[in-house]
Amino acid sequence: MSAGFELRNAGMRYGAVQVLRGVTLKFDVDRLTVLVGPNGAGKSTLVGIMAGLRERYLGECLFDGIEVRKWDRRQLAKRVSFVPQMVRIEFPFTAGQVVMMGRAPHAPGFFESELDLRAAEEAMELTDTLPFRDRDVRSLSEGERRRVILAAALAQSPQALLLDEPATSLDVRHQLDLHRVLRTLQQRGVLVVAITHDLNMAAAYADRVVALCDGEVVADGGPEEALRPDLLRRVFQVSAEVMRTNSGRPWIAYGE
Amino acid sequence: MASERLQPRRFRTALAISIVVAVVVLFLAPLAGPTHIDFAKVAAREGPDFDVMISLRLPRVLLAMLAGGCLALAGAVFQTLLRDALATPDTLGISSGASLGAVMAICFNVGRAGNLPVVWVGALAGSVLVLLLVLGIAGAGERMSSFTLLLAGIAINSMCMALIQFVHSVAAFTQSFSITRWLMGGIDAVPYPTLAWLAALVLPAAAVVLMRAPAWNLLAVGEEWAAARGVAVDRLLFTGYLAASVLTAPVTAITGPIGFVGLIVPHALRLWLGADHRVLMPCSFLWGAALLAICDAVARVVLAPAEIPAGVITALLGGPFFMWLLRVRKRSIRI
Repeated sequence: MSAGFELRNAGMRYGAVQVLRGVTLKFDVDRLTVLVGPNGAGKSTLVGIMAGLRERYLGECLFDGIEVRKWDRRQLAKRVSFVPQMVRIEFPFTAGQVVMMGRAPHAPGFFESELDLRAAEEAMELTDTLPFRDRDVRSLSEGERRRVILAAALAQSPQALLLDEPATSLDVRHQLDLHRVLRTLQQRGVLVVAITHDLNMAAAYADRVVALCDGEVVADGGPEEALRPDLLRRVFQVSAEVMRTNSGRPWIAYGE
Repeated sequence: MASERLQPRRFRTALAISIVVAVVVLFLAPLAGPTHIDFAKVAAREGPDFDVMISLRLPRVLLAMLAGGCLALAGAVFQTLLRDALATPDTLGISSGASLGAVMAICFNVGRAGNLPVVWVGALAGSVLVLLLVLGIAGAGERMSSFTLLLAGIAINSMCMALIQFVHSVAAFTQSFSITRWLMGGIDAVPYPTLAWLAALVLPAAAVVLMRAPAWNLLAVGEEWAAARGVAVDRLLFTGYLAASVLTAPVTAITGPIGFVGLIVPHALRLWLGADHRVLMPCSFLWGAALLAICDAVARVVLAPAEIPAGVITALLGGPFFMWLLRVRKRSIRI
C-alpha cells in the first residue's frame, strides 16, 4: 500500500489575496492525475503545498496520514519529490551533479554511495540525459535542462512525484517520452500529479483531470468528464470542439 | 568515470594539490623581504636571521594565510547564500561594519582598551552590530530568504560606507591619515597569542562551513530546490551568514579590509574544479591562504624597504590572472 495525499478544505492566502480555497481532494497511485486551469488558478500553489514548500497553508493537507507541515523535512523529501516550473542555475554544476542532488535526502553523509550513483544513472537513462551528463547545465538548451531537473526528481526515488508543467520547452518526442515515463512510474506504484497547459496531452495520457479556476476545484474526473466544451468555455474562456482520436480518447480542437 | 558522484579519489587529489601549494608557500613566503634570510642559520637558531624569521616574518605569513583562507572561504559562502557569483565578504556589510568601528576608534582616539588595540575592538564591535542588525531585519516577520538577507545587508552596507565617509570628513588631519592607511588594509606581524586567538575564532567557523558542503550545493541551485530535498533553508541561511561573518570580522579587525581574495579565489577554483562545494570550499581556503601570503610577500619586496598594502597587490596580481583564466576557460581544465 503506497502513501497518498488527502486535502481537506485546503487553501492559501498571500496577504489579502486568497489564491486557493476549499480544496478537498484525494490523490492516490491508482490514477495518473493532471491539474489544469488558466494562469493564476492556484495550480502551482496547490502542488507547492503538497510538496511541503508552502507551510502557511490553510485547512489540512495530509501525506500518508500526517499533516505535511508536521513532516520532518528530510523524511518528506525521501518520499515526495517535486519538479519546479523553473530552475535557474548560476554555478557550473554538471548535469550529472544536478541529478545527483536528488539523492541528497537519502545520502546524509559527505560522499554518495554506489547505490546513489545507480539511482542517478537510472534516472538519467529514463530521461535521456546520459549523453550530456558531464556538460555544464548552463550550456544546455532549455528542454535539455528541464529533463535534467526531471531526472533529479526521479533520482530521489519518490513515492509521490509532483510536477509543475514538466512538458514546457520539450520537443514532441521528449514530451511523449515524459508521459511514458510518468505512466511507467505510476504503474510501479508512484503517485504522479502533474500540472499542464496542454489539454490534449492531458486528454491523451491522464486517468484523471482536476480543473482549477480562481482558486477552486471546478471539475474532477476522467478526461471525458473534465474536458467538456461547456467547461472549457467557462474555465478557459475558449470555444473548443471535443473530437475523438482513433483510439477513442478525446481530442480538443480550439476555435469555432 | 562519471563525474557527478564526487569520487573520494578526485576529492583527495584536488585537496592534496592545494595542501602542497599552501605548504610550499608557508615555507617560501617568509624568505621574501628586505633583508636576506639564511635558512641554515634559522635552523641553527643563530643570529638576527632567526629572530627576524620567528618574530617578524613567520607570524606575518601565518596571519596572511589565515586571513586569505578565511576571506576566500567566506566569499564562497556569500556567493552561495546569495546565488550571486559577484558576492564577496563585503557585500552584506560585515567588513564595512568593521571598518566603521575601526575608523571611529581612530577618530575618537580612544587609545588602548585593556590589552587589545582599540582599533580591533572597535572593528569587532562594528561588525557584531552589523551582524545583529542584518539578521534582525532579514529574520523579522516572514522566514528568512536570500532576498531579505541581500536587501538588509546592502542597506546596512551603504549606511556604514556613508558613516565612514562622515567620520573621515570630520576627523583631524593626522587621524585622517591613519584612517586612510587603515582602510587600505595590510598585513603586519602580530604576536603569536593573537594568532592563536584568531585561529580559535575562525577555524571552528570554517569547520562548520565545510561540513555543510552538501547543503551548500543544494542552496546554490535554489532555496526551494534545497527545501524540496530536505534542507531547513532559513536555518542554513542563518548558519551561513553567521559563520561567514565570524570568518570575516576578526580578520578584518586585524588586517583592515582586503578585497578581491574573497571574489577571485572561489571564482578561479570553480573554473578549475567545477561548482561542487565539497571540493570548492576546502580548496578555496587553501588557495586563499596561499594567494594572500604570496601577495603580501610581493608587497614587502617590490619597493623595499617601503611596503605596498597587500590589498593593492591582490587586485593588481589577481586581476590579470583572473582575466587569463577566463580566456583559457573554454579549454576547461579538469582533474
